Amino acid sequence: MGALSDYLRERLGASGSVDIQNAERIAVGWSHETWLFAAVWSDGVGEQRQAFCLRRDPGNALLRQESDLGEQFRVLLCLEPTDVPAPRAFWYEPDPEALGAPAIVMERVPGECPSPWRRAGREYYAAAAERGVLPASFTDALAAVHNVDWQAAGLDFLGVPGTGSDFALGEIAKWEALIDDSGHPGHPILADLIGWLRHHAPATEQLTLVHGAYRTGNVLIHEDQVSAVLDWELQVIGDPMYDVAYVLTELNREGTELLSNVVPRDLFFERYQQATGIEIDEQRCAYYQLLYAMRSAAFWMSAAGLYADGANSDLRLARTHWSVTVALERAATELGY
Amino acid sequence: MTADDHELLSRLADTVRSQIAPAVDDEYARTQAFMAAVILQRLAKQAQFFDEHRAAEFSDVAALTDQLDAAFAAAGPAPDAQAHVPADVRDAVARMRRLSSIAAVSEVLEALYRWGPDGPVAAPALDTIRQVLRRDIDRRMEIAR
Repeated sequence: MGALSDYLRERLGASGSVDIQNAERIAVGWSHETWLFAAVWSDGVGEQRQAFCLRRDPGNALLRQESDLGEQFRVLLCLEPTDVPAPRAFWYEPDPEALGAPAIVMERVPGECPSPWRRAGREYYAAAAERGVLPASFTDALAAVHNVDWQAAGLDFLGVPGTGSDFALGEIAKWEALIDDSGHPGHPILADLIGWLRHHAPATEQLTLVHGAYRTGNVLIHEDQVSAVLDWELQVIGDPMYDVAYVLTELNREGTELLSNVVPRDLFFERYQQATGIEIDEQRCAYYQLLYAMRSAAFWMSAAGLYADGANSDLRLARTHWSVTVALERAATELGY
Repeated sequence: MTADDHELLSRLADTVRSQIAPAVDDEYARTQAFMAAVILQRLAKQAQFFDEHRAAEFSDVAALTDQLDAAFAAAGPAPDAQAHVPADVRDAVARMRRLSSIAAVSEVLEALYRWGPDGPVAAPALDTIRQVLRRDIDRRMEIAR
């Protein structure tokens, strides 16, 4: 904590040392370390106190190739003047000497982020769905992402796909590269899936900012409202149906008809379409759900590879060796096997 | 991998899950210990099914190559019907026969997609392959579940 205190002292303009309080590492995600803490300092006028969130890149985590903290920082800066609820980013520190690893320091947004993979989380979302506020807020936050004027916001640095099927083909190539890099033995179902995806790649009619993993568990909730969209790791400029497909997919709800565990389907369709003026194309969403099957397989292959090659000793990663099979079984079913 | 391996690994998994993991105080280390038990249990299942699955894979791949050869033999007019099938497809099937491995099906699939998956020969070939892959993934799910 000494290094963090020194780092903040300079940036906060503290007259003395910065006291770091209530620091805790929270167990979210597989890609970066996330720390929450409060900083207390004096600036000559009086005592100041602020809650922060620190994300560090240990360099050996899942999706390290896709999840550059510098890019995340830049995205958060671009989103600041928009309607997207997102944490305000203060500093990006690329030098691993400063904070032990490349890191970004953000505001700590009030709210909670129950895991939809646990019973308590699912109960939380079911209760929120009953109250009716969160389903609308969850839908509105996605609409806000898709309504961002990404060119005006300066987000074109993310790369802008060309016309036609360029976006889908680009995503396929990205996940194929992750698979190749994983060192994990492939399976013919994956070859079939990739062949099918290339053969059926849809044309993208409209480009928006795409979050890439929009679901409960990746948004912070405060008083039944989405207080921040989190996990800006997989964002791209692309087809908004890519995000919509992720909301619609059965993968992100367990034992409930509520999309992403929280939104009634009719409400989502009506509210999203009204807020964005974008008509939901279920056929294209079905295509992207198969692309997500490929992405899941790529994630798990990459994760298992990290353990297998000794880069990371977290046994959760080793277990994903068998998650690849589950992802491929799902792909086979969706391909009509 | 043998049946003995299966029993040994199963016992190890039980010991880690029921005795070692619960005795660990640190939360992260305890979670890792439970995860180790899950992994040992998967490996135990892998050992249990190894011979059965290998034999099924061998048999399925042999039957698949026969079926594909027969389909390609009817792909065009005699006397050189198989000439209507691209060389890379035929080569991939020949390699699959030599290797007797489900992994070798990938190359056949890639060649079929290059040829055109909706074609009159490729489409039924894909269907045939998918039946074999369905059986293979069902076997793998016996371990992964």
